[in-house]
Amino acid sequence: MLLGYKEWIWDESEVESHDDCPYCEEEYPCEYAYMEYSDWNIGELLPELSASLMDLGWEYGIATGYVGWLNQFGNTEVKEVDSVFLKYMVFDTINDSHITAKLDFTHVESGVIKLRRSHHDRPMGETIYIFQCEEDEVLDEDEYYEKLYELGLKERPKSHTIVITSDDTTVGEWEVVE
Amino acid sequence: MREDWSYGELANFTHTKQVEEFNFCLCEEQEDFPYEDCPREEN
Repeated sequence: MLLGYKEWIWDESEVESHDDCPYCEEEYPCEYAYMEYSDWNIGELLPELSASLMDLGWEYGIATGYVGWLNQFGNTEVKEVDSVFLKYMVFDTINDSHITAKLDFTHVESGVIKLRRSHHDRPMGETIYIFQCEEDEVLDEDEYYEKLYELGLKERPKSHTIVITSDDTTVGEWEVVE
Repeated sequence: MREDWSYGELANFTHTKQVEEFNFCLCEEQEDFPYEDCPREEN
């Protein structure tokens, strides 16, 4: 796995007070504790992880998913998958400073990073998939689903065809998708 | 069952959609009617 990490998590509720810090209170970490958390997660770990992605052949990626207030489909252009892009996808595509997020690298070798995050419009979470791609690749909604089906990240809907006949002659077909 | 509804989607729910997705509606008790299309039993 990536540097031994299966996932990268941003959750400020994990920040703990330091016993030897004069500014931290028992239940309330000080601003320096939050800065330390941010420096480590964003300033150090994210760049190291993105460098490892390069080693795995991840040069370009495209992020896509159903997001926001109305759960609408959206996607980025093809981007270089570096720490700036990962940080952008986690934090900068939503106007909220209180988020929790997880980058899941379970399927990284199959060409997918799963970003799960929650924020004020989506307290129960939303999922963005970052697909490894070529520099000139374009991904539409149908291809998005096809990639998820191929990688087993989403179950392909079952469909049945009802054939309507009259005197052994087919007069129509009706496709039902579950 | 899908659990990650957005607030926008929930704001656009109707009684029909509520029952379709969750198989219940708060109007069952005929005390609260959260949606305009909730059925009201006549006394």
